[in-house]
Amino acid sequence: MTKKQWLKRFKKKLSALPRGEQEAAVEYYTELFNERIDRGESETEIINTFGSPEQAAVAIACEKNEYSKIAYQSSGGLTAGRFFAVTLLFVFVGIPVLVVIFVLGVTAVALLVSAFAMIAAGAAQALYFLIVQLIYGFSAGFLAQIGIGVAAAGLGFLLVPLFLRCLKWIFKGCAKMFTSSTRLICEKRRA
Amino acid sequence: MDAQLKKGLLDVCVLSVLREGESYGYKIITDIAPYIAISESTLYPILKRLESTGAVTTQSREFNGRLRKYYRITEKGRERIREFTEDVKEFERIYRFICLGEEK
Repeated sequence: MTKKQWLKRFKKKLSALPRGEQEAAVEYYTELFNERIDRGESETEIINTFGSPEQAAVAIACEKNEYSKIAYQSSGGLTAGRFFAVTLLFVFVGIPVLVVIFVLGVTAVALLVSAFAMIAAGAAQALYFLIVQLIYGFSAGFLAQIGIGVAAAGLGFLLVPLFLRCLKWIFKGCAKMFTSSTRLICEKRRA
Repeated sequence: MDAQLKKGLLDVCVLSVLREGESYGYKIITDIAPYIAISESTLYPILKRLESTGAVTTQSREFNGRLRKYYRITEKGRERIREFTEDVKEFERIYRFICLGEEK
């Protein structure tokens, strides 16, 4: 195991603690790693003295009376009260969040599809009136229609990157929303 | 050694190291290790506890291109050491009473 892998597993095991606590603990161990590396110790030697990341995390959490939060990851069992609270949270928070995420996702995809549809429609209109003009001869009206078609297709091309960015934002937002609501429900489950 | 007793001793050991001047995680461990067994995971909560109770203050400074967190003892921390030495005097009397029967 490398230093990076050790710290990654350590942080993962501390995930039940508040973010600030996790970062402080990771900074502490990172500093100790660096100090010992500076003094010529290998990562393997250091890890041998630190023990497993799980042991280190449990030791820290034990001292902070947070043991139950970490130990819970490998244990189970819900009391009736907690089950009721978790169910309520799922019904009133989980389901609405899932619905919002689904709607936002559909909206994001629809936006992107609409940009492509605009390109296709604009190109089709321009092509159609180009053919009409070739068949029936030049007309200012046909030329204007071709212009409108080209403009619509051009606008569609401009909208694609914008909508792609929107799609990314929306998906990121959905992921955050999902993570926070899951954390809320899981914390209640552990409490 | 009893876990609770060791916990209290370690707090004071860390403060004693810091009484000599500010220090950082690795150095604190190496300074204490010859006298009492201490691991990295044991020191972390001690430092956090001392910091939260105002016995030490912290400051992160750059060292060799990376950040090193320095701990400095406060007046409250020094007071804690004084209280401990007073307690030890009392322990000594009790120790003599238990082991040597001097108080009889």
